[in-house]
Amino acid sequence: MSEYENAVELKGVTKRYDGFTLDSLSFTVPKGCIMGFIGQNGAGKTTTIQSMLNIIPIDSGEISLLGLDHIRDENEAKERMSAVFDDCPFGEVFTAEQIEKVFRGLYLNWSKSTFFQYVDKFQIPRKKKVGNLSKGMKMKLQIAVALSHDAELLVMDEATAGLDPIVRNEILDLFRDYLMDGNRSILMSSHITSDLEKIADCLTFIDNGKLLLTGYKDDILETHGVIKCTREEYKEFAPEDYISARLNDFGAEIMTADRAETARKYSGAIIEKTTLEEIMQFYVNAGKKEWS
Amino acid sequence: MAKIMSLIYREWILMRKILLLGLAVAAGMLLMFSFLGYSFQNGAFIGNEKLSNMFAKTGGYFETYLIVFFLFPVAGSCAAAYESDIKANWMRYAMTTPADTKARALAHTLFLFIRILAAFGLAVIAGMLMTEAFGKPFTAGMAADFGLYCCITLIPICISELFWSKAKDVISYKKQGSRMACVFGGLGVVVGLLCARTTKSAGTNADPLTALAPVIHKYVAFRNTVQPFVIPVLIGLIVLIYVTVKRNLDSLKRA
Repeated sequence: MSEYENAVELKGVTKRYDGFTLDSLSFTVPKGCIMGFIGQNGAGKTTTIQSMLNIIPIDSGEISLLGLDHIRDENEAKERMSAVFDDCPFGEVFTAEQIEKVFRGLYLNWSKSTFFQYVDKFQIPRKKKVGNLSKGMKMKLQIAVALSHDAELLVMDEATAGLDPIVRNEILDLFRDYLMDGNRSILMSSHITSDLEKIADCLTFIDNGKLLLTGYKDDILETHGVIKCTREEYKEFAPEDYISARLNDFGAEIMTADRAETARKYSGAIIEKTTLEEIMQFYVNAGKKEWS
Repeated sequence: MAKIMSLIYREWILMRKILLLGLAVAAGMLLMFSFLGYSFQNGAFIGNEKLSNMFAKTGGYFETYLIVFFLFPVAGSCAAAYESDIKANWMRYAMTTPADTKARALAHTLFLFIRILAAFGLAVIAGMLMTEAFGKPFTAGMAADFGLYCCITLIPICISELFWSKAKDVISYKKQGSRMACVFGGLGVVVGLLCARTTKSAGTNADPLTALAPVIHKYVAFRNTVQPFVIPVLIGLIVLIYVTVKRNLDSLKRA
């Protein structure tokens, strides 16, 4: 088994479509971390994930998964990782028991007992057809499959979207347990920032195919802040000192990426803590600089 | 090997319903033909000479009907499996598993071969029952004809694989379905025109059996000519199906 520092490494990954380009994307998912992969709809999250999984070919760049090349060592990498999508891929006629029989032969490290432990834990009826399960149950079944072959990397593409908060919390708790041994990693794409705020160690923001921000969540939340001020006070801020500014009837809200430097430079300014959702909004509008 | 077996099991679950339904229909037809055969042997048609003669003439074609009924689910089950896979977005998920396109195409083709072998086994058993019912030898004829009908069944399967295995999602599946319908429609028109040209020589007032006679004669002559080549053609078609599915699954990645 190869030793690796980063579970996922993307270097200058480019994929061109008619009207959309994933533009030289680079980021890493450190081993043992949950990476939240954030961006609005159409930002390029699914394209990035499909490129990583070699579902679509990239035009240029390098991708390594668990220290392995994503094309040359594709089968070995896929043996040691799992993907979870927003829709259940098993077909409506299958039962949990039949799914176990299918996947038993597909993965070398498949564990029947682990799979049924998850199935029982999630209270999924073993003989009930997938077509008769709720959306939450289908998602749990997909996660049970993903966790039953000792995968070192879990890639989730909008997997928790459309689930109620109770099921989402159950799944997030499960991921915390899954990461306990320190050798497993998760890349979780989502636009539900509250989930990522709870669970993610690192974050990567993308928009319109471009990387906006990547790093440890605590560092990002620590360094970023929002200044609430009047429009007159806002005019004193140099454009290079903030990401973007939201103008409203009461004044302006300004997002800074360096609270300490802003506090030093604008001594009277009151800088409040921010949330991932706000950071995403201000970065998405960074091109316009001013928005409302 | 374990991967192939798992994928074959997966296809069996997807196709099970239509295969068992097809088997039930074929069993029903076999029962009906057997009943007719026993009735014929027991003199049920004595006194109605025209009907008796017609039955004696057409009775031999029951074997053809039965083979078709055994082969029909083999072809129909492919459509059921593709539809389910497209609805569930299995193609995309399969690309994230260690089952590569070679294993998936091989499992798909091997299961098709297994279904054909099963249909052949059932046709032989049906032939033995028909022999008993009609008091005429059916088994050897059914076994001999099976290869030819199998080739005839595999040609549309091959054409449909050419289109279906290219589909990545529901939209492309519908698009490929429309293209396939156009191809089959075109082939239907060509075959229909050829048959019409052949039957035209019988005259417009001829009864259906007389009108069809030249077609049947031509078919019998064709059957006798191609019979020695059936096994190599069958193997060739199965290989062609494997190559088509493998190539299309690979092309999904490049899309």
